[in-house]
Amino acid sequence: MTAKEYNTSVETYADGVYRFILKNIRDEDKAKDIVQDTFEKLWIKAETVTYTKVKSYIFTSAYHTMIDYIRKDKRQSMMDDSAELKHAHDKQYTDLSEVLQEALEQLPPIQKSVILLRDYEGYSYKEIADTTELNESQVKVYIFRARKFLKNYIGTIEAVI
Amino acid sequence: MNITRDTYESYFIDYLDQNLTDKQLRTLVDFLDQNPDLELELKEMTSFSKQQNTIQTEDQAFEFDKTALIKSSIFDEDLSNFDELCISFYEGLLNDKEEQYLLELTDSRSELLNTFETYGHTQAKANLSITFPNKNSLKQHKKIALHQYFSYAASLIFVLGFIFYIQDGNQLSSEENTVQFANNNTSYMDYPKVSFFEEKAQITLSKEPFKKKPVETKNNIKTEVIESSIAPIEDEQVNKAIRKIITIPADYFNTEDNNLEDTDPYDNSIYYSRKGKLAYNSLTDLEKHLAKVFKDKKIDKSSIRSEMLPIEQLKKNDIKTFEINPLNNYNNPIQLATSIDPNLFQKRILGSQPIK
Repeated sequence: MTAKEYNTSVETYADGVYRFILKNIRDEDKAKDIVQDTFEKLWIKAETVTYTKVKSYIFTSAYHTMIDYIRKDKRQSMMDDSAELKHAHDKQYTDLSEVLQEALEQLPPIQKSVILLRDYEGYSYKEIADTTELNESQVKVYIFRARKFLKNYIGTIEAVI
Repeated sequence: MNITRDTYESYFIDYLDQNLTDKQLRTLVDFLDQNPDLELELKEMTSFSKQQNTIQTEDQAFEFDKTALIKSSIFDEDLSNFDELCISFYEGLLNDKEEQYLLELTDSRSELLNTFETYGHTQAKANLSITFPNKNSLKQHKKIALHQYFSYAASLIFVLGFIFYIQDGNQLSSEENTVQFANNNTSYMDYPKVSFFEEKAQITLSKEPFKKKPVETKNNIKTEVIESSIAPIEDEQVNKAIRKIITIPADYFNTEDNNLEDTDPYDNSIYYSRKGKLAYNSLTDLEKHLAKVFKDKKIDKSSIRSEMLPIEQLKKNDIKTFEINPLNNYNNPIQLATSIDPNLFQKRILGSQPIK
């Protein structure tokens, strides 16, 4: 990958990967650090990463850096799919998108990640599997579980508003 | 058992006998989609079966109905897989016909429609107003260009400086161009061995010719600096060579030789050359310089060359007490002397010849 292609990659994917990381960890400074770190790694490996694979490399690298951060951060729960999902909510919502954002925050990290990769970036199950080092069946299961949870969360809010 | 073109007949028979499970029905539908010719065959078998089945009444006649087949293949009887189908719909996992039947089903049953629509709201949309701040900081800029810029700038400054130096030198009269020499009123033989550091390109210019200035040396020996004028040389090669004029041990100057009045007032190096004791980095430099200086004078260069001795013949003592007296910095010779590595200094007198 040339320097020009690298800079094009920055222009094309920096915002997307930043939104993805920020949505996951809700820490702007850390999200910036992770994105910065991701592109530094990309530049170091620029000779071995082809331009056609650069998006996958960026999101995979950012995802794993984020996972490392989450694991180090005691405040975040581990990648525990069995985490109890809370449906309690006492906020006032004005529209469904706000409800959905709130619901996303309630998801276990792995489910949240696959949903964001699916919805934000339009990744296929295979691409998500490659990024998260899961298999496609696991990705499908996580997405189905997450959708079902989101539907139930939104459904209960809809009843309120 | 998987259904293939070799095994489909048993599947067809089970289908006609209505012995297929839901999963097998879904498999059969997929198989018929991929093999339309066999779908036609199944229709013919269905028709034949109808004709042969004399027990069935007309209403109960079994007809091949792929629509019904699809419906029964995707929906569980109790609709327990309805959530899965809704998610599959929004995930784009259903084919056109399956989508169509799901929509028909939800349209007909309001309680299912609500669930179906709620699933539609589970698609997250990115907030595109959130962007990475200062994206340029991530980009790689051509750092080498900056170095090149400074290189070009430095080269330009050097060239301009050189041009101005040459031009200024041409404009100054010989009386205005001055250069200083360490000297005193006593014999040089009384001094410790002293040599001079000369770099003609940096020669100090003074408007007062032959001005004497007292200089206190490293060994507290008071000397006088006698300025003599020097004419710059316009040849770049020669100037380059002159810059390599480094040192001359004090031995070169004995009382007899140290006759400044005999020195060419326009070039201090000529003073040395008259003694045949020029210090250059190489004979080539010396010859180039002399060729220019003596352009209009008849000088036998071969005689000069014969007076040059290799460095191996220099004695260590000849340079041990060397003192730097740069012509462009005669007011502060000690400071410069202490800043020069003796080993480096020794190397720089290559080609010079001490008087023993």
